[in-house]
Amino acid sequence: MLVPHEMQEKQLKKISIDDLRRHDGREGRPAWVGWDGKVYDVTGSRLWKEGVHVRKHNAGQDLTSDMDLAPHDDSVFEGWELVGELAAQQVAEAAYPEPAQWEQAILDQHPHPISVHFPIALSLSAALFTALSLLLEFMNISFYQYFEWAALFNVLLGAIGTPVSIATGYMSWWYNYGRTATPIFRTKILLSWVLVGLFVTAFVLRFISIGLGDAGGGIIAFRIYEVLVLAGAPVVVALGFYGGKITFPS
Amino acid sequence: MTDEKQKKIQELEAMIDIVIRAIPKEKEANRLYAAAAERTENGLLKGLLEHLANEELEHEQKLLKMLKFLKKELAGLRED
Repeated sequence: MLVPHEMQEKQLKKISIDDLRRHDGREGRPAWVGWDGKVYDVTGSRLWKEGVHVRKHNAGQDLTSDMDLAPHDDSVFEGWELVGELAAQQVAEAAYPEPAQWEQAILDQHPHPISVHFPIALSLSAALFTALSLLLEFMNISFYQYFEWAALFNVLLGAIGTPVSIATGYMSWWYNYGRTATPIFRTKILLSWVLVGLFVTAFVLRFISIGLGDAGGGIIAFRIYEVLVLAGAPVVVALGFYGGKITFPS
Repeated sequence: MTDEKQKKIQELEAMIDIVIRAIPKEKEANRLYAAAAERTENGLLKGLLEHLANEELEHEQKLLKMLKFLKKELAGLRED
């Protein structure tokens, strides 16, 4: 039914999203569509047969986000009956999750960019000290063990710092990026847990190697430990690379 | 899954990736301009900064709408 909107604005009733969904235009039901907080009745439109428009859009839904990308503007609703307005919470459906006040206070300090520096620095230092230790050991220079100990302390601090960095990363992803798991975020999440796995396994292996002493098993555990520490460097560089792509899009 | 469908999914994911990274930039810019507008006594400057803050907010809203649309398209493709 075609009714001028100015005559309808006065008696707008609140429409819940469930109520909107029930009016999907199928099996003889009325076809309602939501747009910009309002609900229109398009029943009888030849463009909405059986509640479907251009085989893509369905009646009974809020089509606000679709309209911006449609080849026509909102004037297509001119003349169609204005049934009511969507309840406020339904209009805000696309919004990101809202942080609590204390969470916003933390986010305002940008905790992730601060905390990521620690695992990056510690991983690279651990790998560097391990490489130096291996080199000096190969050259039969006795103080190689000091570098090995330095690497171990970096691994320990990295094992403690990385989960903190992951926690702040999840927080940022949740609130700043609407917890959307695009490939770049999936890769970052995966690599972060790989890094934790490397640190923790390396640390455990180092103590196993101490327990086993210079016996065959101890040497093997120690060499695997060294490989894992060295592997931390490319992982953390990749994490930094993807972090940079998120922060500085190009 | 056909190659064409896979390609469409990849395209949509790439678009979502761009939009998702742009949204916090708009939000940050809005907060920056709004905070600056609050700090200045100069009426002309305040008006300009408020205008800029509103523009960033509009950009954010448009991106959110676009994101919702892209997510819906992606979900539809994956369900098919």
